[in-house]
Amino acid sequence: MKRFSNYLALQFKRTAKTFIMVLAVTLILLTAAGAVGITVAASQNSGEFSKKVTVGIIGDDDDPLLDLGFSLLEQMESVKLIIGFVHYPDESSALRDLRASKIDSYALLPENFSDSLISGDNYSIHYVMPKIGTGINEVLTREILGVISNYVVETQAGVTAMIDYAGEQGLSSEKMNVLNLDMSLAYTNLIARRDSIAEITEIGFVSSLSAAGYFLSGFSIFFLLLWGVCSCTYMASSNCFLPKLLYSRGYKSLLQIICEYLPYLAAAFLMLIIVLGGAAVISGFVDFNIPELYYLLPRDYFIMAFKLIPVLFIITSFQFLLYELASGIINALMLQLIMAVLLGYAGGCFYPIYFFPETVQRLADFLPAGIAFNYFSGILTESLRTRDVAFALGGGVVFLALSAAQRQFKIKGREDQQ
Amino acid sequence: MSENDMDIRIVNIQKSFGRKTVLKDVSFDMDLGSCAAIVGANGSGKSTLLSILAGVQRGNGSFFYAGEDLMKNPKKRSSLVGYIPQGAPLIQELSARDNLLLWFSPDRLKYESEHGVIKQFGVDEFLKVPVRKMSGGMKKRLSIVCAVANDPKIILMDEAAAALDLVCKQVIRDYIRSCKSQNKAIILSTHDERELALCDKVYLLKGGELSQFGYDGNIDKLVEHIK
Amino acid sequence: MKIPVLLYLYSKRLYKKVSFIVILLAMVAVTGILSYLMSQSAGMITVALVDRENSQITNEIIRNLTEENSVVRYVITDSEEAESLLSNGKCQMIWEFAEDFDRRFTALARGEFSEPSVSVIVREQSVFVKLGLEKLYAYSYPIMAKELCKYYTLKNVGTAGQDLEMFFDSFVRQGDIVQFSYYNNSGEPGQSGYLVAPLRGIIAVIVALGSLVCVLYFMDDGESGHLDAVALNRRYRINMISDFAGTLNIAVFASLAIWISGLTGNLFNEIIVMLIYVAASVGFSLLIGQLAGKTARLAAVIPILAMLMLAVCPIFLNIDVKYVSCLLPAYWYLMSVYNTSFLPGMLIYCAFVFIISYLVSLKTRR
Repeated sequence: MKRFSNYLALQFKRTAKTFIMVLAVTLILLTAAGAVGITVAASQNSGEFSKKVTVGIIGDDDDPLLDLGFSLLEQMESVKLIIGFVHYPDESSALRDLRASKIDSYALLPENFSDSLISGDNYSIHYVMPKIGTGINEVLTREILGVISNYVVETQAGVTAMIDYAGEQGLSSEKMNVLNLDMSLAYTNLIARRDSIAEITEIGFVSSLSAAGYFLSGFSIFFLLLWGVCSCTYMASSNCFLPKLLYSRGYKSLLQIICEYLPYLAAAFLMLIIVLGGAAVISGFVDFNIPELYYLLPRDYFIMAFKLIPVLFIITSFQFLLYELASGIINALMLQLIMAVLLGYAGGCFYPIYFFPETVQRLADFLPAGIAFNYFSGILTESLRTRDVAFALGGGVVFLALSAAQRQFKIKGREDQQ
Repeated sequence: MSENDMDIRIVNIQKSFGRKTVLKDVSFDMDLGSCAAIVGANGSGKSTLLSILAGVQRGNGSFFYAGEDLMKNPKKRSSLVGYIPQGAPLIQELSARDNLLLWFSPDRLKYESEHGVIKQFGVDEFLKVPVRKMSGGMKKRLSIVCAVANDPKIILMDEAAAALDLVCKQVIRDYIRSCKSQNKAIILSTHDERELALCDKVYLLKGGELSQFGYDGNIDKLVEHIK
Repeated sequence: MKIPVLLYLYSKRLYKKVSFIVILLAMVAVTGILSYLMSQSAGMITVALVDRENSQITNEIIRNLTEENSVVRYVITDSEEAESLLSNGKCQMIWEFAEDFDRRFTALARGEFSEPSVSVIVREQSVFVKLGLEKLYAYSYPIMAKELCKYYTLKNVGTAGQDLEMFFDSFVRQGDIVQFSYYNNSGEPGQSGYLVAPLRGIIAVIVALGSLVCVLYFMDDGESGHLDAVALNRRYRINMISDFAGTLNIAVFASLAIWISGLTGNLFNEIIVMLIYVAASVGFSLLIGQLAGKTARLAAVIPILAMLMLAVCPIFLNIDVKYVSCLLPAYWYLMSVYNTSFLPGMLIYCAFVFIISYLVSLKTRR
């Protein structure tokens, strides 16, 4: 017991000596992250994952039917949120702006496009977009254009079928022209009233996160994952001399690991208290606009820090294992960064987990980021499940046990393998 | 039976890494108050042998002290054996004093700083200096003091004087002499001619096998055998 | 020493650490596994469908919705289960088709007053909820359009026989009026895997961060006294070569990860862009290293840069902060790899960071 307390006390002292630097880095990181967050929030017209897609339209500006079509489109709420239209006189100017990233894509309407709609000939719209890394804009645009295309085709089908049928029934062309226009208006009216199909009820957040709450959780977990990197200068070990000497004097691997891990956890906890304390103070002046935080009093932020200990436990024990696995600063940093980014992605820190296939969603429940996320969201929504607690604590214990096994392996390993 | 009659016997130490056998039935014995040197080429298994004796690595064989196999009694081994590894087993962010507190109680630290091993190695002169600001020699001296804090009967030194300045080397040699005079046994691996001169027995480790070498101060002859 | 020898020695030094190879192979493996898993069927929103009418019309709407390959996923269930799915976040919306759906729906199609035929329950409004609702309207529309056509024809022409339906169906079969194409990418434009695509960005960020870590390694060597024998005026060059060796090796594994993820396009283009990216990352890392000055400061900057790159480069979000993102090498890589017209810009960026880092090194050398 004396050995344990001796080594533990020294490790606490060591952590305390480096904590100021780590805290300074953490606060810089948090400030940078906050700035990025504000920039992201400010630049997101749709308030979510993609900025509004600007689509260049190349077609006959004077065509009243096209004008009517576009004004109808601009009334569609989903279109309004996702797409903005800009008119171009020709394709070359649109292409120039596309290359300069002034617009995101353009649609080339063929000549006599509106005539072709009336006559029932399907002249295709040529939609040109750049291939870029973020597929999400493209997917949303494709979905919306699919919807628009559906309205156009079905409307045309209705009008053309009626005209063909009326022709078959021997109606005069004058009468058919009148019916054509009248029926087109009936369809336009139907599209404009399409939302009468549904009655929408918003129930708010019972036991799951709001979008803003989700962002907060994802951001917090990724921040904690990256926090491991801040500690690299004192956590990354390049040799195993001290563990070997300690081992020869009866300090077993598990004891060494516990003594080194506890101060690391304590530092993370202290950092969390400082960060949440800051948030509590700021909450007095700024509305975070996160429904889950609406009713929190400043003292609730401190209580939350204690409630979040299992989240810290699973994340920090995972980081600790990574430091144990990698020898030297270059490997330790690379491993921390790779794991933070890839596991953060798979754990739902960047995109909501429900975006992912079922398999990934199930897998995420067992990844450190996913476990921490479930626990964190459980705390925010006050719907913490026993399973979330068990996974967070159990996962942490497993990572510490693995760290001890790795320490043992390093101690017993060949000299030249270190 | 008096302490002087007791033997230290190392019997059939074996160690393999995969298919490669590093130590083949290594056996030797020595008395307390004596010093034995293990010499051999780099990678011949000297460090492995010492770390097995220290209990850091697992290996087959026996390590008898006073008739008791220390390999089977790790607790006793940790109280009897002091192991000085090649590198510096120190916490970089802390001062020399903090590092010593891991191994010495505050009272003993004070006593040793004034009269004992801490003063002997000159560590008392830089107790407040953080390890990362120390020179190689300071780190080595501090490492040795940490390793022998339990006042061991048997000291295992793995190239303790490598890459040190002349003053430091002299301090280590003085320490070896004092250990011998205090009836302690020292097993060291070394490439240093003057350290060899202090040893009562010199063993040559080659191809995993240990054999006694009649070292007479002729280093050229020793080098020929090591090759 | 000649540059190829130094490159070889620095690479060898990295590979001497078994964990370096293991980490890079782990990156390839994790990326491969993720890309495989992420390419499975997924959606941005899940809708629980409750059909209380169970008529031909509702069945047709539900069939149309569920058969389509869309970012909206559907679960057909009952009211109770749907509520449970919504409350635990397993679905984001419930569409409950009313018991007298057919009557209400037909009335709406005919332009008559009608109560809503679908009860939609959401937790909150979002772009994806609106998109989902638009899909509901769009997939109800064909049936409404047909109903309106029949009703209108009957009312105005006096009859609506079998031929009318035949005319209607034959027109609809002519299909989509929008043809998609990429202006900067040859080959058939396919549905972009929005979950797999970010992996390229993640890998690119890892390469840039790896380059920074290599600079940190070199600085650590300097602080440990390993470079004492190297003259100060030669250190920038040696640093550049060592960083290039490390980054190039990481980039080889990164390219492998991209290939395994199935994201590789034109091979020649990929190689050229990756090589320039390696150079850009080296220049950028040298500059950051020179500005940081000490390993502890550089180590502190790395997570900040990681977060910045992930946020402002077109990886997950496509936000409009070009003035910030164009300072980061990952931005140029991600733009150039799809659009070769960005290559000259990337080369200028490369030259810019090297010149600035060299000038800073001259200042710090003094």
